[in-house]
Amino acid sequence: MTLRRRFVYVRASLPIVKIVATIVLAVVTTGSLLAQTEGSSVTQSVTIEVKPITKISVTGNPSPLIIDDAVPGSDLTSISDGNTKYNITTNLDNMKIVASLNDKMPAGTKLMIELSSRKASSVGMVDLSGAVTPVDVVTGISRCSEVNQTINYTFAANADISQIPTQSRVVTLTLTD
Amino acid sequence: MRISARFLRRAELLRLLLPTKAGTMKRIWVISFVVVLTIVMSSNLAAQQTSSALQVVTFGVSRTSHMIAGSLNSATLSKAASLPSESWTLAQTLATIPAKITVSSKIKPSAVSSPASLSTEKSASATDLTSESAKPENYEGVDTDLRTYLQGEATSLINTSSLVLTITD
Repeated sequence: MTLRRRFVYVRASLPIVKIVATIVLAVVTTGSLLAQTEGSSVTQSVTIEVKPITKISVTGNPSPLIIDDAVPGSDLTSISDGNTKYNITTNLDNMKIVASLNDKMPAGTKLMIELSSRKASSVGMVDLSGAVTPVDVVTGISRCSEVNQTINYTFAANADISQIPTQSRVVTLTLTD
Repeated sequence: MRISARFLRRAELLRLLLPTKAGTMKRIWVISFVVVLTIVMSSNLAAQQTSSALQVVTFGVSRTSHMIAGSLNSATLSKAASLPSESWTLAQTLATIPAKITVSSKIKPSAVSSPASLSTEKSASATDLTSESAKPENYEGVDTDLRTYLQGEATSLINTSSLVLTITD
């Protein structure tokens, strides 16, 4: 084969060489990528659990309930406050909120409480005057959360109560079963 | 060394007291573990099922001296032979305030001297204004029960004038 014929032969087979080179390069690259992917795998074990949750919170204390006025002819004079709220979260069924006082109210006076509820049953206005042991205020709470529900306090005094210096009581609201 | 010897003696005693079979020991350990686990889990569960929040409620009763400020209108009084229910209620409220009441009328009624200073203490002989015995002539003097006073005063004021009540310390 002469030099000229060899040149023509090589020139003619140049596209084939290019195609073969491209295929080889693609195979090598893919193999390399596959090898890299297989080598970088990791595993993690994730443990999950949901425990029984009951949470209740309140927003501060009610304003002082001072009776300084009365309706002529009314035997019972009262004043109310509905500025505080409560929040609850529970994932349990048949829960309720109970309320109690740390000490009884003075004779001739009443302290009443009412908790509103959208998803459970409010008992309504409950007299806490002698509630050293807890009394129900909201019942039928099941797996829910409630936010910014109103707490209404009403302090009432009989007309024959002349004067009571300012006092305080601690009201405990408990979310329980 | 002395401690080790004592410990060994106790361990030996324990071994004598406890069952020696390996299977029995294993069973005891498993049962003990389950019991402890149950107690721990149940106490944890109980702790999670209650949540409390506290609020402090402050209260008091101030003296309500202005609660009875007002007047009995003669026109109202003249509509009934006895005191109307509205006036009776007002008298009842007044009677529960431990303070002095000054009573005056714009036109001096003929049956009483006015103004008068009265005690608001409830009297056991307070007259029921709705009863038949509530007659003007029952009123005597100023130092008497407010209900009795109102009974006499109001009756004497019929068709005359208005009665103004003011509470003072």
